[in-house]
This record gives sequence, C-alpha cells and structure tokens, in this order.
Amino acid sequence: MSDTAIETTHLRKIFGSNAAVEDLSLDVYRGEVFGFLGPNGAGKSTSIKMLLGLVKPTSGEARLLGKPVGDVSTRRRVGFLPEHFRFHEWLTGAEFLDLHGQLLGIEPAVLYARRDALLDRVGLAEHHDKRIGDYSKGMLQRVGLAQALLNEPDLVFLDEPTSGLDPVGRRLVRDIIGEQRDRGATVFLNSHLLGEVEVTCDRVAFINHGRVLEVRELGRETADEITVSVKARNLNGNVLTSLRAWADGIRIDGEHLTFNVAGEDILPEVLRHLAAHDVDVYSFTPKRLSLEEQFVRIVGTEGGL
Amino acid sequence: MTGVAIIARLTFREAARRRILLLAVSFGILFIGLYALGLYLLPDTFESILVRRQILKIFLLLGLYAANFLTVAMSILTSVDTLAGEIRSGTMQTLIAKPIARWQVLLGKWLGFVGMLTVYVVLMAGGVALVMYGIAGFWSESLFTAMALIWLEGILLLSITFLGGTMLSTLATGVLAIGLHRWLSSAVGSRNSVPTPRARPLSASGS
Repeated sequence: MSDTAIETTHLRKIFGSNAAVEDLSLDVYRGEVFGFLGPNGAGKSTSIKMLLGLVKPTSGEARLLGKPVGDVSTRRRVGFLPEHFRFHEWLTGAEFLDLHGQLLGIEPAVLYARRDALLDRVGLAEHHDKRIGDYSKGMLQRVGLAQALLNEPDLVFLDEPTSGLDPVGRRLVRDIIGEQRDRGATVFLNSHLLGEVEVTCDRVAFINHGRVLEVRELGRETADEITVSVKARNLNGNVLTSLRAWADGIRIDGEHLTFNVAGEDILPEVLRHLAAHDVDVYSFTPKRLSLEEQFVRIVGTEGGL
Repeated sequence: MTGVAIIARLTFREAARRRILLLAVSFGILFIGLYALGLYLLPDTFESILVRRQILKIFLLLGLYAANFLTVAMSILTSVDTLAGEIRSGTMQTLIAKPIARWQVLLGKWLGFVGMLTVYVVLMAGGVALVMYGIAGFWSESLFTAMALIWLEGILLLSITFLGGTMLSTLATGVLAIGLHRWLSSAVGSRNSVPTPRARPLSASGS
C-alpha cells in the first residue's frame, strides 16, 4: 500500500483555448488533512473534478489511493461533498442517504445503522423524514456531508464544506474533519475560509493559475514568519543596529518596536540581547504570520475574479 | 441491487412525480373519456357491415393517433431535462463520484423512462382499444403491432433526448428531438399516405 492518498504529476486541463489547470503536481499523504488554497479561478474546482474522475485531464497523471484516477472500484473508498450540493428534492434526508449507500454497495443492515448515526452526528436526526427540497441551505450542506462519510472513506474531498453554515455548523464541520483524521482518513479540503483551514489542516498547498506555488506545513514557520511587537523604553540606535543580526523589517514608532525573525528559537536570544543593553521591556509579543497573510504573500493581491 | 437497477428505480420514481406526466395522464384520461362519449353517441345505422367496419377502423386510428401524439409529447417533455438539467444543477456530480460507471447511470435512467413510457402506452393505447371493444364490440388484430410501434417511437425519442442531453442544453435537446420527430414523421407519412388525386393518372385523364 502506497503512503500517498493523492499523487498528481503534471496534471493539465484545457477547455477550448483556455487552460483551467496548467500543471498540477501534488502529493497528499495518507492520514493528513490537506488544504487546497487559491483565489477564485485558480483551477481548484477543476482539479478536484479531475481527481474524482468527473472531468478527464487533457494530459498528466493522477492516482488516488494508489490506483489511477477514474478507477470505479476505488470510488468505494472515496467520499465527496461537491461545492454546490444539490440533489433530487423529493427524497427525504433518510431516503437520500439510503440511495447513496446502495450505490456505494453497503450492506442494508450496516447502511441503516450508519445512516441514523450520521444524521444524528450532523444534527439532522429530527429532520430525517423531511424532504430535501424543504431543507435550508445549511441543512442541505449537512446532509451532503453525511453522504460523503457514508462509506467511512479512506479519502474524503470536501469542497467548501462550510458554505451556507452558521458558526455552530462550521464548528461541527471542523470537529467532523478532526474525527475523520483520528479515524485515519485523509481529508482534502477546499475552502475560502482561511481561518478554518488554519485550525484544521496539517498541510496546505497554495494554487494559482493551475499550478502549485508552494506547499507548507502549518504550525511550523519558515523564514521571517514570526513578527514580534515589543513595547520598550531606552531603545537606542546601537541596540537597533545590532538587532539586525537576528531580525529584519525593523520598525520603530515611539515605544513600539516591531521586527520579523526567522524562527521561535531566536526569541530568547533577542530578549537577552535587549536586556543586556539595558532596554526596559514592558511587553514582548511574537505573532505568527496568519494563513491569510501567507496567502496574500504567496498568491499576491491581484486576486481572482 | 446493481447500479443500473438503483438508478432506474430512482428515475422511474422521479419521472412519476413530474407535473408534465400528471398533465399527460390527465389529458389522456380526458381524451379517452371524450372518445368513449363520441363512440357511444355515434349512430349505429350503417348500410352494411363492411362500411361499419371501415368507419370503426378510422375511429380506432383516430384514437391511436391521439394516444401516439400524447406519448410523443410526454416522452420528450419528461426526459428532455433529465441529463442536461442534472449536469447543470450539479446533481450528477454526487452520482458520478459513486462507484458506478457512467454507462450504468445512462442505462439506468433510460430504463426508468422506458418503464414509465411502457405504462403510459399500455394505458393510452390499451384504453382506446378497450373503449372501442367495450362500446362497439370492434377489435383489430393489428392493435398489438400498433401499440408496439407507438412504444418504439417513444423509445426512439427518449434515446434522442438522451443523446442530446449528454452534450447539449435542455433547450437544444428539446429542439433536436421535436425537430427530428417532425422531420421523420413527415418523411414516413408522405411515403405511406394515399396518393393524392393529382397524382392519379385516372383523374388526370378524366379532367
């Protein structure tokens, strides 16, 4: 068994004369929660569709759970919540899950137990016999999520899973993603809400124009990623000059000093240095670059339209 | 249950819920009622048994023509949106991502509609035949052939809307199916129709 859940090499999709995905090469490991970030029109949705076999790549290769993309039996082990989830509105929530369970080839007894447990988990236990057409946008999203988890997938794709959900619903999604990881499943998350991604994902890829710009592990900062704000008196020119040995982007505004350092390990040294030069430090606050700041830095502000 | 059967069942249930079908069934019942009334009121005073047979044959043809028309309209209107519509709305995405091949989805849907079509043809053409037999005591041995042909016509149209629906929008599919049907029926119709008086050498020489 390979240890990559998703492997793509030079995946490319052209619609007419327009390249939706230019050249996507990506590895997602088993058991991780992987965030797929990029501005609108960066090729995220097309990439997901190619991975699920909904759209045929123009060129390049992709493997899911070790099997080439499009392999029908692999889909038994994959879950998918589409971005704008819609389904036959006349089915009730329970009927809808039964139908998908049957399509997944789940034994009836197992299916009914799982269906009830999932409806309960996503907070729809009381609405199981209500028609999907009468569901609110949030309820629709919840039942769609239940559908994606029905087969206890080894790999689950969630495309904007929190769209249409209120803060409580968003928290539910976050908890469920955590449960999936604990179960050993791989989660591929496409979301615009960087705050969510930041707390749920192990790694993220930044995508633009259908290319991977950068893959980063979250919670592990790289160069100049910690910004430190200091409130201090007795700051003299000498201290500031010698500070350059560790930090850059040094700015001073009265008693407020800010600078960037390359990593956490440097912080005690910097603090000792300040104290040794008789600087009176009142506060010393290191702050990691938020995912949003990283996003803007990597992808740029031109944004998607 | 295999994928094809699951999709066929879903499609049959879905088709049975469409308003268009309700409309087609209502029109069908209305027509058969009027047809029965007309046949009932037809004075049964024919000069010979042969003339009576001819008149009833025409009457039966009329009934089957209406059943055929309703079947054609129903086949196209109920199925025209099933593929293009579900592709556009994204319903198809959840389906296709399941461990089921695309041909299974297509075949299942097609079978679901064929099932509904079968029920409709049996009800309509069977209704006309029953009315004819019940009121006038007339039965034609070609009735089953007629029913089978109406059924085949519906299946052909279904297949065309399916072909269109995989590639075209709902509207374009509808135009394709109705256009092809008009063209085909006029082509077949003109071949089978009785020669017009103009074409008859006798009437030409008589003038």
